Amino acid sequence: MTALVNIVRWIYDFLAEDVTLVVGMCAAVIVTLLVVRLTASGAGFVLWLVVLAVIAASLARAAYAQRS
Amino acid sequence: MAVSSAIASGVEFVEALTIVLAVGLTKSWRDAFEGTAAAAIGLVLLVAVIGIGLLRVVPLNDLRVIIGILLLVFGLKWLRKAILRYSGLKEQRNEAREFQKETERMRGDSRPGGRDWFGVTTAFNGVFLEGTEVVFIVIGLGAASRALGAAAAGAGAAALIVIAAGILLHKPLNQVPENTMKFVVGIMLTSFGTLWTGEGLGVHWWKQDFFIPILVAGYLAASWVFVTWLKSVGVRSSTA
Repeated sequence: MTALVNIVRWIYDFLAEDVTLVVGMCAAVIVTLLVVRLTASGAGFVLWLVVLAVIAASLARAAYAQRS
Repeated sequence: MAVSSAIASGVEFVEALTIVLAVGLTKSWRDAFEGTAAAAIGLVLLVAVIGIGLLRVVPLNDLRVIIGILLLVFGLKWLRKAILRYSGLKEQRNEAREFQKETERMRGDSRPGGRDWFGVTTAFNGVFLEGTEVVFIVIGLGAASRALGAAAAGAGAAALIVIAAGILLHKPLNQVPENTMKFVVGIMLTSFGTLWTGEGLGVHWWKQDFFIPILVAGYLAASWVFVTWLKSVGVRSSTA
């Protein structure tokens, strides 16, 4: 069990190191999947905007952590 | 593709070189070379199993979704760190300082007699961990665009340049603009990741693959806005 947790932790650190990025990316994929049914060309811009929002949220969290 | 891969891999090779040099100069060159060789063999196996396996088994569209999402998350990690560094909220990476830290750690472990496995494993860990990131980038960029050869060639060229510089200089490459390179790589990985994730999910990008420069420009502009915003937040908090 400890080994499994360590493997998951290693993958998490290797890929993201930040929970906002992981959760945000899951949200980006779900939103894009929903929007792409309505408009295949517009969904790209929605994905792009969600990704930008994810970076902004992650940076805001980091900035807030530094201030407090 | 080769250039993107070379820049991304070059940054990782510079970091690996710092660790190998620290082991070679404080322990022995034999330990450093053995650890590096073992890591290189492990990485070749990783490329053979994951890279070639992915290309043969997984259909291109599915591959683009999987790799696109992974590249996007990975790219965002690099971009986030670069923005935090430029805005002063995170310390800039400095190879000379990293080298100092590593050599002090090496000197702290003085085991008399026999084989020095500490040096070998340190070199192995450093090269393998940094190399895994290179493998991830090369497979990610190469497989999703069906240009694995070009991506691998770019990484190989970067490895040769860094190794040659390491042999000639015998010191960490702290003149390399590592933080800027990481920022560029973050932008590239995030842009490719966005495009391929979208394509895999069924998005019809305007001008298809030629939308990449627009994504790059957009992420650059957004990064500039984020850095300016974080700097102003930092100034406000330090004057409060």
